[in-house]
Amino acid sequence: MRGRSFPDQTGWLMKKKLIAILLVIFLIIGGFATLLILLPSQIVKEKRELQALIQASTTLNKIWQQGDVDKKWKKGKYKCELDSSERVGDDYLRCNPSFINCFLSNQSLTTEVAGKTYQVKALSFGKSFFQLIARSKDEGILIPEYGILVELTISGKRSLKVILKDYCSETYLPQRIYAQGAFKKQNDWRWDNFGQHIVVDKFQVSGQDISFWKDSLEIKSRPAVGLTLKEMKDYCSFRGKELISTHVYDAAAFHPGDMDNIRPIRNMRGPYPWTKRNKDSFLYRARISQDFSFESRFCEKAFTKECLQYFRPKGFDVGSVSWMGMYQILGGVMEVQNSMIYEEKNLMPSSYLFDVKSPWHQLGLRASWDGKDYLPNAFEWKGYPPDKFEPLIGFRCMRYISEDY
Amino acid sequence: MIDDFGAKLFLNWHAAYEVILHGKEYFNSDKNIERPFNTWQSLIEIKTLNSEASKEVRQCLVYRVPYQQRLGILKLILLDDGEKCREVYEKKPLAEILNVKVIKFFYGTKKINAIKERKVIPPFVLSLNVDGKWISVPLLNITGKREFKKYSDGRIRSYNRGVLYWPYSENRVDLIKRKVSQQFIGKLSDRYLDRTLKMCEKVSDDCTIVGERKCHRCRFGWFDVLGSKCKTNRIKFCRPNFCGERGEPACIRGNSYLGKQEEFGCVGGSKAGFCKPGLGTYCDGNGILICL
Repeated sequence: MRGRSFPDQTGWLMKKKLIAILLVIFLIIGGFATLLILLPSQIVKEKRELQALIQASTTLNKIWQQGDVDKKWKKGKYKCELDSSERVGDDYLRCNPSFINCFLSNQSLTTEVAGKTYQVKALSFGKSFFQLIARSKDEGILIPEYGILVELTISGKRSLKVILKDYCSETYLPQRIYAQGAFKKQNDWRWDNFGQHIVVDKFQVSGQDISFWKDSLEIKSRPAVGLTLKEMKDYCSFRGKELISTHVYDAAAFHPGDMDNIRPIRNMRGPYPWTKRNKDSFLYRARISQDFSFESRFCEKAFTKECLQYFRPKGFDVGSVSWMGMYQILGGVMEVQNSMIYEEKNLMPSSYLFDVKSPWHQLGLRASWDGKDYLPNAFEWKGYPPDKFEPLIGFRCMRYISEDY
Repeated sequence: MIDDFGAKLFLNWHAAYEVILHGKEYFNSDKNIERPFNTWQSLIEIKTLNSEASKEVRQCLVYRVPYQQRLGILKLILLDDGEKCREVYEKKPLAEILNVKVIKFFYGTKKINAIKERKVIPPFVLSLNVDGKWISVPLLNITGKREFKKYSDGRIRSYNRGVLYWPYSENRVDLIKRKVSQQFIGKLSDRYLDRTLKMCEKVSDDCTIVGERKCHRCRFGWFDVLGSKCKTNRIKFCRPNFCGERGEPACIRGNSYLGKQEEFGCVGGSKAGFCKPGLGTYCDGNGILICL
């Protein structure tokens, strides 16, 4: 038998090479085609970027609403211009534009969509990552009463504009029958809010709130003081609210007794927001007992004059709290409200201007302030003036809401 | 094609703030849209913002129902001023899907159990099932009803509570330089006495809303007044609120505190309202309880 001749062998090798080359070309083309089918189109890529930004906005909203959840600022891991952590309660950082600035300058947002990780950053406006946005000063559709606008981006070319609304500062006043002022057996002034929905500020307006209103970035966590009544009302208007009225304040502050009975025949109420029983309170014992001894722990409930020897006054202090979540009620700074029933009695003097035995440290007792300035004749103290006066009058706002607005 | 359409819909509709369901019967029913066959149907219209967030933009989803060999077409269309969805079926769309055999729609402000599809549709998410493939678009600015309870903070339900979104775009926002025509009503100098205070919601005695509801457009918020006999809703004005002062609406005291049913509505001397010392309640010519 003869083997293949030389020319046959060469032809067969050539064929094998050609087949191999064609196979490689086919595999390459097939691979590209598969990649093209599996790779997302440009528009799908854009959609995934947007999804990543929406996820990042959810994280940012959580930080905005809840503040320093991971305690990184408290532990000193963020370098920011904020009030000292020893001098503020945790609520200071909630719905706080300065804290959002701090968070965004110290931490990035990372999200994952369809197996891909995205680094989200905020675009800056000058020195900060936000712009204050409010209906009282800005026009357009989708403008909230008050909030901050942050622009989130991945590529830097397109951004998602996220408006974080300020809801942290409010608490709802449940519907029931209430009464104004200290309890009276006769002629107790009663009212009810059935058919209405009211929210009140949890805390007094802070110095930081006022500085944002006036376009400065000062950091002051303690209650704003030294304003006239008109300035206070103008600030509340800026926020889409009004100065809290005396009857709504008392409704929020006085413990209603039987919480389940929302239509009581009489509104029995004690003078202290945290208890139904007067005699349980240190303030009552201070007034009636000769051998009362002050303790620093009382400062949590009411920051009176004695507290200054132990502590510095604290911003967003949550010690003095009422049954429905309103804070800073007794002690601290004085507070003015809008009085419509007894026109001139609008000032709650309970503050660290008065010692613990002062009769002013109870609910329902009010002095008068004309609201124009801080001269002595602007006040009527009903026989109990402070030993040394300072212009320490704070305020808070309230507003009406409905199912839809 | 479905993925690209879904992406286009997502990019265009994420910042929608108003939704109008034209074909309510087609939504949330787990059934394919089959009738009336071979006709165009307008399904859903939305209002959103343009890329500068300065103007309203309207868009529609329309669908040609399939018939025999002629398969369905789903179109996303941009509406010009004054145009209606049912007039633009032949308009060039922003995006479309051809040859659709089966399509189902789901949307609501509460969770939906699409039992046949074995899928739970989250609230505020527009979900389409096109030939077995899902398209989901969160409508980020749509809101539900507020819930009222102790300690609640007044946030309205939405996809991401407490957050509003302006469209994803290349435009940066400068609130100081931005020029947008006036949208909000009310000035701090308005007074009921001068007839400059703006009513934003009128409620009749049987609790129906008369005319347009516009309290969401009040610049400084709004407040309730007495005038209607409705017990669950009140006539509303944009702030500023000077209730209790001479010539201004009476402040609301309520009618339950008296222990009997005091009549609501505009009744002179009514104890459902109160005024500053020295003034009493009267019903004025507009049917509002005021102080004089």
